[in-house]
Amino acid sequence: MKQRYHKKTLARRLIRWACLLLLFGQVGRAQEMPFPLDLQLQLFTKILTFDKNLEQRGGDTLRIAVIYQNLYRYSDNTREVFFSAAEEMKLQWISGFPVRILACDLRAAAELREFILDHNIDIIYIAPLRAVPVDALTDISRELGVLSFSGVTDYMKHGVSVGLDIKDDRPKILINQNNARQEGADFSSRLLHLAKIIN
Amino acid sequence: MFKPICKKTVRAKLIIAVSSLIAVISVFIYIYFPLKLERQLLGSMTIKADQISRMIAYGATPALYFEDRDAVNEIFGAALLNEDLEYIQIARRDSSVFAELRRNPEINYSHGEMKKKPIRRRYFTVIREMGYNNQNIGFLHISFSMKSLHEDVELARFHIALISLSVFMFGVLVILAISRILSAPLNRMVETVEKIAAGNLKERANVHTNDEIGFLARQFDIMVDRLVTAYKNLDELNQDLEIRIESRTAALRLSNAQLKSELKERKQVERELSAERVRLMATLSRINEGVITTDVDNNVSVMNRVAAEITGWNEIDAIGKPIGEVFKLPVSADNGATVQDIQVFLKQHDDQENSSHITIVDTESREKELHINVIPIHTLYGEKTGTVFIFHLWINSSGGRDTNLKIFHA
Repeated sequence: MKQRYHKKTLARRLIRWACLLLLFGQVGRAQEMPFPLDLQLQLFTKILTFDKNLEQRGGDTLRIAVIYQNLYRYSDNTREVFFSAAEEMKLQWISGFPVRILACDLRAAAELREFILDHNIDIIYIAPLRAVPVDALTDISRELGVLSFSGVTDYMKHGVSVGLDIKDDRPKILINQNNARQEGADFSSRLLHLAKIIN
Repeated sequence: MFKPICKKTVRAKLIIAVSSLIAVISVFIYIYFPLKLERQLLGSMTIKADQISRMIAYGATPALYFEDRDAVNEIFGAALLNEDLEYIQIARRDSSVFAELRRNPEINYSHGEMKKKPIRRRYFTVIREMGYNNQNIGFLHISFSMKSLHEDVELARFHIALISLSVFMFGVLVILAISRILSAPLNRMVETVEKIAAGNLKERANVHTNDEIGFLARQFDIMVDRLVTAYKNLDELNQDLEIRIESRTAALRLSNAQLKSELKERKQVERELSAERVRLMATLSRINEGVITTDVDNNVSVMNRVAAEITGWNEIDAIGKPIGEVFKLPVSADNGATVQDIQVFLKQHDDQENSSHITIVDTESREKELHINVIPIHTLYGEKTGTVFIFHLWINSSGGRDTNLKIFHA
């Protein structure tokens, strides 16, 4: 009887794990970042130089917030690699503005508003997130005029202004021009010419 | 047109011809190379304008598409670094102007100049379509100033004109020198020919160059040497001929005198012979014997009257007739004559004196019996010159008379 119970328990556990794997497998694929983070950082800093409103946005310091989730390992890793890449790049200046990078451990979308306002954030980088609607985050960024970046291609569908993708083994810059304008960015046509425009 | 040139000297002709050629070459250089340069510069300008317009269009197209005036200003700022770039206009598809740059606002950069030749225009204009995502979104109009190009061409034209002039001057100087070098031996030859034609055969060209003219002059000198030698030989021949003619004339005179003398002697001899002949004929005519003499061919040369009476022949007619014809024998004679045919008889007794009886038929067909003596006539040297026939009618003992034989020696 006891052995029978063990078998049932084991089966239940297996099914549970299988369901979890299926669930989180799908999520993983949706939050996949096709680009290594160091390359992402290089491209994003370059893209920022094409923003004609960067001067108005930056003020005295350009503050970049990495939105991540501490409890989500992939997200946390992203944050960690982002910081280390910035350190390796010695990312201290963009277009003559000093750069400061902050990390924002997000548990709910509403926390973003506070964080932005508290830290006078200019740009947000959205790492892979779980259980937080990205649409809500981009609504806030548009409302507050904060430019949103993300390495997760899929987040472009949820209103992120600037993203990255790979097409035919070549990096492709994705720009949601309307959102970018709403977020106060005015990208140069030279960049827009090279990027894929999503409206 | 060419007559006046034909009358010129070789040197003048050479100078005129080569100077004309150099002038043509200089004019060609002056015209051709600036044109070539113009075309090359225009080609370079075309390429440059095309490349710059492409570069500008590359940046201006997204700027137009995204209405990015900052980018346009950046492009214009960069374009202004090109000093030849005078005008840029970015127009939308509906021809409305999106952005425009004029370096000189007073100048109209419209298409008014398009009717001129490209090289004569003040501005070189390129109009390029601007396409984005396979769609025409507008036009880029760029004008470049051709001032620097024209300045370059003018400068090149000036330099080439100087070069052409230098080439012409230098060419003329060179041809003057060459013509002098070439014509000097010719002039020397001409002077020599004139002196030789005037009779001075001692004159020589004495040109010592190793070219064709030198060869010609040497051959000319050799020819004159030979001419002099020929003249000398001719003089000597003339002298010889005169001497020969004089000696021949003297010889002719001598032989003429000898001939006259001989003729005189011969006439004397003939006269003597004639007298002798007359005397002989007179003697023969008084002889009662018939006498006929023949020459070496047995033709009758002399016949006396008695012989004429016997034979019935006329004395004159018989002269030159063969003896056989005068002494004609009967056709079938059996008259006791020892000789049947007088010719045969003469052959049988060619060099012998002989006497015989013979029957002949006279011109009236009467048979007559003759006693005949045949005597060959010899010269003092024994050469036979003829024969003498002496004969008379033979009368036998019963009533005939005998003959007297006589021998004649010429």
